[in-house]
Amino acid sequence: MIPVYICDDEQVISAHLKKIVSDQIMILDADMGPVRVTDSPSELLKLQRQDTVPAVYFLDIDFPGQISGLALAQELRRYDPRGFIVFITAHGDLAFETFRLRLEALDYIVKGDYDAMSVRVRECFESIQERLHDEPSGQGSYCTLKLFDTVRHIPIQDILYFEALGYKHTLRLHLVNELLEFNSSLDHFEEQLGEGFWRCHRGFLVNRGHVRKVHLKEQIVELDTGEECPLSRKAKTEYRAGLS
Amino acid sequence: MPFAFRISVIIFVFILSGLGMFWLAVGIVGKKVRTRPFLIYAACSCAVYVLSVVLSSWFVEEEFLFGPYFSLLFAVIGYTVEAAALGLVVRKCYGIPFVQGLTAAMLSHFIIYTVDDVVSAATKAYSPVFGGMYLYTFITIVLPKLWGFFIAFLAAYVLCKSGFYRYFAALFSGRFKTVVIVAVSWIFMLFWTFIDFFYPNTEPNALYALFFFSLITVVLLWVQFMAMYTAGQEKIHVQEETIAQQQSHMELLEELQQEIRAFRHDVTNLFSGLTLQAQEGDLDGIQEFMKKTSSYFDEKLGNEIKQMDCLNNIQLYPIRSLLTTKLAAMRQKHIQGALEVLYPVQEKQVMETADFLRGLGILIDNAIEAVPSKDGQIRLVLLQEERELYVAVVNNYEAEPDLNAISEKGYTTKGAGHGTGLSSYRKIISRYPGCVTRTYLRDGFFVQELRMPVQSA
Repeated sequence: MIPVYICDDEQVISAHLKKIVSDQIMILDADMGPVRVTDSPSELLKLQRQDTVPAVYFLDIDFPGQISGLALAQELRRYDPRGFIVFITAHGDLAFETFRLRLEALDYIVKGDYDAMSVRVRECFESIQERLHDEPSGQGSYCTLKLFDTVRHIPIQDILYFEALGYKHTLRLHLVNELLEFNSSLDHFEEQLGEGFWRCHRGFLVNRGHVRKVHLKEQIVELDTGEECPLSRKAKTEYRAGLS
Repeated sequence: MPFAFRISVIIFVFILSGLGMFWLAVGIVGKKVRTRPFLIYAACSCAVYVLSVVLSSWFVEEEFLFGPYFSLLFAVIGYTVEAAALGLVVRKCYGIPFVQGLTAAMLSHFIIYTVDDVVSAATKAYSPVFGGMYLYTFITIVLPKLWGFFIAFLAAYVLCKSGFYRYFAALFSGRFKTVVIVAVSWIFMLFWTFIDFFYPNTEPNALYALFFFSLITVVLLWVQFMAMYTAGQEKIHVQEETIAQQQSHMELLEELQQEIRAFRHDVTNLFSGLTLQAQEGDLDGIQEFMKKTSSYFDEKLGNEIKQMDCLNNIQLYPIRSLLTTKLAAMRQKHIQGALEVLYPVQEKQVMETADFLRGLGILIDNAIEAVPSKDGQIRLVLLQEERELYVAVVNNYEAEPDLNAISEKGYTTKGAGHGTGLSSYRKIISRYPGCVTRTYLRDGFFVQELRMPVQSA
């Protein structure tokens, strides 16, 4: 069961929303619940820790006098990096792109018309179900990456390879459909990730799971995405020794 | 003289002049002297000299070897390579563009050799002949080098303190200017070589010394003047740009005013209709009306007002004007542009504003180039947080960008001539440790993120 939280300081809205959400869960026969309603962010944070994650959160954007919806969502994310956040707003002009990029917020719902809200909630649940279905069910291993004060958990199977750039201690992490550049060292990740990864070159650390072929003669490691990493002479000798 | 003494004098002189050159060149580009880059440079220049001596003794015939032509050739090649080596070291270790490092190296070469030449000529002319060779060597060889080093040290200090590098960098803003500057500095570097070549029998005296010291002063003043002049031009250019940007801001305001006028007209009409309905007691009609008009205001004016608020949130004025211009350009090209700046953005980021400006400009230009010709969408996000400034440029695209190819140099979907942007973007970012860049595709959008650390208070 995936718990659902609604946090809004307007009683009317949250009562409304609770009804809509419960109805939609029934209609879709979704594996979600219980639906909890609160009007205070601090209580929501407490509630979150008492149940399982991931969870679904419907949050009001602005709590007068309290922490902003953004700060609240960041706090929630810290404990539940894979949860689903949906914002509730009174006006259509909220900065949703910011929330989507920064918090991976799922969607937003405009307060007001009951039917329109129902449709929106239903869409949210459908997309949540789809995402849960796509996600590999087993708790796969993750590579943790701390950038500023957020920690990112990257599924190991998404990592293609790490590349050390010529600049001072800059790494480029090649993921499926993503590039990430940050300051760190290959040695650090070689240690963290262990056997699943192979230092095929002084400046490259590849995910063994993505290696398609090793071209010994051309000194190239080919990945299943078609990308290529160089193979150093030292790694080549070790590789050969490992084979025989 | 014993061999050990000769060797130690040579090594001493070598290190001193090398250190002087390094110190001054680093001072010109406004950085602090560090040990490691110097050692790299020293190794390079030693290698250059040893190699050139070995090569010339192998391949050049004896009578040519000590002739004037050879020493000219030797100096021209040797000095140039040495200056290039220093330029490379400065580029690698300090992140200064190569041409600037090269020019700095050549200028400092000129200054040090001038001092050295003049002082050694003077000491040779005026020093009494000592019985022992040690003192003579000291006075005519070591002392001039010490002087050279001292002057270099002093000049570097003064240049650093006066923030000379700002002007110096402005000298390299155009291709033509860069070529002229490099050529002139090259000639200065080889000035003494040419003098020796064309007038081998010049007799040094006090006037001669005076002349060359004034030459150094003139060269420094010339460089300073040129630099200040270009910096001034640059400033005018920037101001012109600001005016253009403000004009486009004005246009946005005027547009908004027009729309408000139209809106007022509409509202008056709508309300007279509503009044009628109310008088007739048509509740259903009124409800219908409310449903239709509640989002009307947002649709009409919401976007412009929101964008204006976001722009006003940016307290980094160059960035604000950049965004204003770019948003105007998007409107002109019928690209749907949106800006989100949730909290005030102040000048707190580690990156210098000029570099931030260039980097952001590159990202936005790329986005404008990449959007499909119909229904292009670009979203810009700036978010000031406690420890970082978050920037994102999001666009839809016509051809799906190949992320693997993007990491290569000069990637573009637009054919040759484009795509230098990304590599210079990367170069800018690489100068600031702690920055994180992320590039990814999601739901049909191409996202470029930049996260910059904020200066700790």
